[in-house]
Amino acid sequence: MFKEKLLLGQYYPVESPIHRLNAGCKILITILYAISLFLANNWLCWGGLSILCLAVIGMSRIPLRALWRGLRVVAVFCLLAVILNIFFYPGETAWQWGFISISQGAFSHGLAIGLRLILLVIFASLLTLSTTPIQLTDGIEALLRPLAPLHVPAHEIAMMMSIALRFIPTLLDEFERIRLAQRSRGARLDQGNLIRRTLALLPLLVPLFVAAFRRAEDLAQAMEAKCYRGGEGRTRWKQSTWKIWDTLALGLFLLLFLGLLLLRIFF
Amino acid sequence: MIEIRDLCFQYAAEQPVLQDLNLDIREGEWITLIGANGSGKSTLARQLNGLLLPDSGTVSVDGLLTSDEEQLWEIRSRVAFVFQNPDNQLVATSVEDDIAFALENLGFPREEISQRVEGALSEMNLTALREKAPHLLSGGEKQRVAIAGALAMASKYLVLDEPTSMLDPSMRRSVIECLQKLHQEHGLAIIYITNIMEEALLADRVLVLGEGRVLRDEKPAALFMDHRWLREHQLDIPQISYLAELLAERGHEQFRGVVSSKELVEIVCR
Amino acid sequence: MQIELQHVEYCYQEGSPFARKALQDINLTIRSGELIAMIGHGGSGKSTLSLLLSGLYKPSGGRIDTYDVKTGKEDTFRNIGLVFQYPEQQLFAETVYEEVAFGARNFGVPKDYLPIRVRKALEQVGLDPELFWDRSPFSLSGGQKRRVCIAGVLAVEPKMLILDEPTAGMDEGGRRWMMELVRKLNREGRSILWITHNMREAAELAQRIIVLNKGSILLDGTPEEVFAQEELLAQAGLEIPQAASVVRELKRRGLPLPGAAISVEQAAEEIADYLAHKDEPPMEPEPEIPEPAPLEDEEAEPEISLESVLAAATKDPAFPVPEPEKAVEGEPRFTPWQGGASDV
Repeated sequence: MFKEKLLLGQYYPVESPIHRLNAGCKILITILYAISLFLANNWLCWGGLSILCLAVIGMSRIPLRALWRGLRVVAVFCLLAVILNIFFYPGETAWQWGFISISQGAFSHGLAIGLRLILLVIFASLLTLSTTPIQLTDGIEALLRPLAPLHVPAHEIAMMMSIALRFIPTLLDEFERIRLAQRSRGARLDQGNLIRRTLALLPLLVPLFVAAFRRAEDLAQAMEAKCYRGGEGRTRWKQSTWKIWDTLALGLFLLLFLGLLLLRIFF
Repeated sequence: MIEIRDLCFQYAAEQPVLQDLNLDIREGEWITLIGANGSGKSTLARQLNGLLLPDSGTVSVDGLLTSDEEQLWEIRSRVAFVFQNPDNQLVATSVEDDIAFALENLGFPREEISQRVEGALSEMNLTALREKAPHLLSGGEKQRVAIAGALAMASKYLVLDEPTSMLDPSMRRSVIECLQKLHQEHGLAIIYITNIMEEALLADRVLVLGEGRVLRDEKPAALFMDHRWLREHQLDIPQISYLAELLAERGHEQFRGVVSSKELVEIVCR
Repeated sequence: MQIELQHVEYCYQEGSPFARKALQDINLTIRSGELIAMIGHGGSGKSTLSLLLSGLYKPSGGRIDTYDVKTGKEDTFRNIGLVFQYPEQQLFAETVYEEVAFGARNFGVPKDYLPIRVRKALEQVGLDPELFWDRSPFSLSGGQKRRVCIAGVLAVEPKMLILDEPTAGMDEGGRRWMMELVRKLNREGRSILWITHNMREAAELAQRIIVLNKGSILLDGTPEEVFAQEELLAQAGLEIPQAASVVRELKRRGLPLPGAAISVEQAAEEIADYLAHKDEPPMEPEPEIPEPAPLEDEEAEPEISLESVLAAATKDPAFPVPEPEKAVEGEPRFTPWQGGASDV
């Protein structure tokens, strides 16, 4: 069932310059882009950022329908945010109808919010569409590693994420089996009041938790048997590489960010 | 060589599981442990690589004591372990990463890891599956990945705790064939726990555990001749051994000790 | 109750690019009180079939009719108890009582009757109600946990039990216990479907074996009938137990054995019988004993006179050795009696 679908975040496997970029670099870029979106405060900048986003979409060779799948979910929230903003934007009333009033500049403001939300979601989707979960994990670890002197357990966090990713499909299968088994014992999730329905989740959740803990115990033993003792003294077989493109890409977005920051401060 | 002396062990506040156990396992030997569930087989297996430590007595691998924390990691690189549940021992998100896991932990340099992983993949016929995620593998493939990890570590001893009990017959066969190959080609010592008596026939020695002790320690053919004793102790008997014994009891001495169906057929046809 | 499957099919993820046909054209009738073993590899569709029979899955094609009760309604779950593989994974309750009562309660057994049902079910699986009633299921041993799960299914009082690999992970003692339990339940009138990939178990237990291969029924018959199809089974990656295989191999080599043994004891019987009679002259077909030839020798026997003997003994030409009588034409020549048995 779930097994056949690709893990989480719908990675779209295709060859592209974006796919080849270092994961940590992409994460930083996404953060920079997101901040830039909200630093910018006029239509010229927003327009520019939109064009940048379209350029990245183009380079990633990811088809629009894959992007739409991710957007679809968030589209409703975007719409809601836009509407709320239009109706509740403070200022002089420019348009009235009954007790609903829309202020001056509200439309513009609302649309701006909408646009920025959409761009943010698209850019974040591009991140997960062009990077496998395990690459993301490695990227996060790489970014956290410099913080090690501050007692940030980068390796442990990365190991946790990696194991979680490894076991999510397995646990989903387990859940499916438990669900079937309890159904055969007559368990129903759709009967009775809220309390009854919540209690009805116990036969599903308790076995799942027990199974998860048992797996964790087994796995811990297996890891110990394979001489695992934390991050110390450990080599990493596959290392993500940082290439010239990563530096250029990061540099570009850094400039963008700084530029907008200056604009915002001085204008 | 693995030497066990006067080993005593019990889980907290329960009955002793292992009592005054003494055992030697030589390099290159294939030893099979059998016994009822709860007889201490799994516990004993976990003593061999220090996953469990003795309450009293000693377990030493090539002279290194499991109770010595400093040496424990060296021991674990020499004594590899394959667990019963194929799923819960695969850590990484792909086959090759899982094989490399132990090597990474041991701090091998990157090039050596690559070499060893390639070697293990090709020997276990896993090269085509190298990038596959564990949850997409069959039970038999998962166990072979676990064994490949042991191979990559170049361990001398391989402990397997009922590795085929959760597999169906054809997967079982493929795992056992791999083990036989490793045993013959690499001189790997194998310590194999099972409830399937046909598998016990592959061993050099079969040890029967019960009440925390080694009740019997002999060659498989000899042990399985004693089908009354095995029945008394609630143990299964390989079919051919049982058949041979029944015939021998009727006066056909030529069948005594026969364990293979081929041999039995030949003797009848003589 | 009787279950009839006609042209049943099941397809996973129908319509998607990942669609996979697990079962095709299954035609099967399970009669009341039968003890059936179902054998097949992983992927042969055994578990899927058990889910269809119990009503948890609906067939993608064909029909399943349960006489007494119609599939499609929840009722089926009540009449067909399904014990999953490694059922211990379903445990969740605080006490053994709660765990065993769960299914019965869900299927509408009145509250007052629940303790009675639970007690009876626990006794059936050999767990003393007094000792186990309030214990946490998680504190039990592996074997006890499995018994609790089976008790939970029995408490619903199903007419038929389906057990999917019930001896998985058990040692020999556990296996024997499980098989004995199932035989007992069958004697009490329940139909049993025992799913396994162990031929030996199937032969020991069942009157009828159904072999599944890649989603279809390969064989369906008594153990003797199924074991006779060694080649077909080999194609499906299945082997008959070694003892059975041996006698059939011996028969193939031309030895006069019935070659129908299922168990080791039967195989020993066959082989011992053969060995006991191996060196005896063949009794059948009896060769015709020819009429004994006329004893011509007697007539042709020469008179052995004292003189000839003396002559032969002394080699003295003085005593002429009488010439032997010339053979009369038509009569066979005599030959002096050489000694030794005549060949009759």
